[in-house]
Amino acid sequence: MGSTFAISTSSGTSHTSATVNNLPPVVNCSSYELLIKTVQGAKVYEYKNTSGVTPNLLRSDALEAYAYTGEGVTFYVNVSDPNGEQDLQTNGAGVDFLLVPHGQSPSNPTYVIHAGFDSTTSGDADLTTLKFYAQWTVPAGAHGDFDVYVEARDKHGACTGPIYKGKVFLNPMIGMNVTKDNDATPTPFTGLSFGNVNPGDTNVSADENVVTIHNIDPDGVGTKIAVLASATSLTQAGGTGIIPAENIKAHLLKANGAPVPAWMTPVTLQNNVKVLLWKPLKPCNANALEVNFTLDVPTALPSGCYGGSITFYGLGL
Amino acid sequence: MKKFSAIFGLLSIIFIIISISQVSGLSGAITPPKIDIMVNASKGLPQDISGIIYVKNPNSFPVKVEILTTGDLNNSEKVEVKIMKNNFTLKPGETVGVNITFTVKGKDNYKGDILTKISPLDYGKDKEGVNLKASVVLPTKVAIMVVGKESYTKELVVTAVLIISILGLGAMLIRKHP
Repeated sequence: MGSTFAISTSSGTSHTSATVNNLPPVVNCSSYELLIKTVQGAKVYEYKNTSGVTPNLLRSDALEAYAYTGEGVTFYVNVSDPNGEQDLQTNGAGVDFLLVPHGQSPSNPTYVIHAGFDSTTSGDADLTTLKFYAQWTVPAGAHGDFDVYVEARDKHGACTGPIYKGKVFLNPMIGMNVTKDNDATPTPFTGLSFGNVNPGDTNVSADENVVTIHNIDPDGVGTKIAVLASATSLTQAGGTGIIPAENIKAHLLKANGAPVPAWMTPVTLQNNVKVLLWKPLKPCNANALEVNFTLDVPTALPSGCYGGSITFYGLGL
Repeated sequence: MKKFSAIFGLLSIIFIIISISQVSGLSGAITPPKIDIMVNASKGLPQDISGIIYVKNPNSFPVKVEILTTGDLNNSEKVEVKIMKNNFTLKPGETVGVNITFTVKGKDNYKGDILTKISPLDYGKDKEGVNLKASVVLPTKVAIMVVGKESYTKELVVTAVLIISILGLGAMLIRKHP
C-alpha cells in the first residue's frame, strides 16, 4: 500500500483537508517492445506487444527472440504513476528490466538492466505515463533462455514487483548434421566414396547418396543457417594423378520441404573455395537439404586410389 | 496366445523400423555464430576483449576439433587473436568453452571468421577407389568496430616523465660542474 499525504487548505474561517494516497506505479500491459540490432546497426528482430513480431527481418520467423554476443538489445515499456509522472523521474524512482533464467524466480535475476525514460514523453499530453527504455549489449559467455521481467518503483519506494513481459534467448547454439541415405549405427557418415571408376566416366554417383544436411537448431529457437561446401582436389596415393575438385557436382534435390527448382542445380564444387549450396536452411528434419554428389572422371588418369576432403559449412544467420 | 503373438510381432516391427530409421551422421554445434565487438578508442589502444566459443559434440563418437582464424583476424598487426586451445578432442555429447582474447591495436573496422572444424577422430579403414573425407565447419563471424578518438594519455605521460628526467639530469650535471 502506498504512503499517505495530507493536504490542508485554509480560507477565512473555514478549513478543509484532503489526503492523497501514494499509489505504486503501473506497468502498462500492452506497451512492451524488444528490438535487437547488430553492431553495424542492422535491425534483425523486433517485437511490439501491440503488433507482434515485425515481418521481413532476418530473425522474424524465429520461434523465440534471440541475440548474440555484442548485439544490442533494447527493451521498451510504458510505466504510469497515478500520482503523476514526476514520481517516476526523481531520485529513488526507476525502472529495471530483469533477465531471469527461464522458469526460475525473478527474485534472483542474472542480469539487472536499468532503464531511463524517453524525455519526449515527459510533459506531454499524458502526465502520468513515461516511456522507459534500456539498451543492453549481450555479454560474451551469456547463454541460455531468459524470462524478461520489468519492475518499476516510484520516488517513495512503492514498487510494482517483477512483471513478466516475454522471453529472449542469448547465444543459442547453431548446428548441422550430415547424414547419408543408408546411414545407421555403427557406420556414421565420414565422407563420400565413388568406388572404383574408369577414366572418362561421367556422373558417377557417390555411394552415400542421397546426402542430407540437417539444421539441428540445438536450442530449438528457430535459428537458420546457410549451407556451403568446399572440396580439395583428389590426389593419387603415391602418384601424380589429380582429379580436380571442379569435377564434383552437388545436385540439390530438396530444401525446406520443397523440391529445388531445376535451374538452381547442379552446383560445381571448387578447390578450397566455399560455394553456397543453400540459404537459408530452416530447422526440423522435414526441411533438410537433400543433395546427390556426382563425379566426372578425367581421361588420361593414372590408375590407383585417389583421396581428398570435403567440408560442409553451417553458417548461422 | 494369438493376441500375444500379434502384439509381440507388432512391437518387433516397430522396433525394426525405429532401428532402421536411426541415423548417425556427422554433426557439430557451436555458439555464438557471430561476435560483434565495439571498441572505444578513447579508452586507449591496444585493448583486450574477451570472448568465448562453446563447442558441442552431438555425435555418438569422439571428434577432433580444430579452431582457425581468417580475414583480419590473421593480421596480428591490426588484431591479435589468442585462442586458448585450438586443437583438441571431444567425447560424445561433450561441450567445452574455448576462451578467446582479441587484442585490438588500430583504429579501424575489422572482419574475419573463427572456424570451428569438427572431424571424426577415426575415419575407419582407407577405402579403395576414389574417396573424400568429410568435416563440418561452423564459422563464428567476428565484426570489430573501433569508435571514438584514440587517447594518447600513456604516450603523453611517458614523454613527460622522459622530459622531466632529462631536465633533472641536466640540473644535476650543472650543479656538479658549475
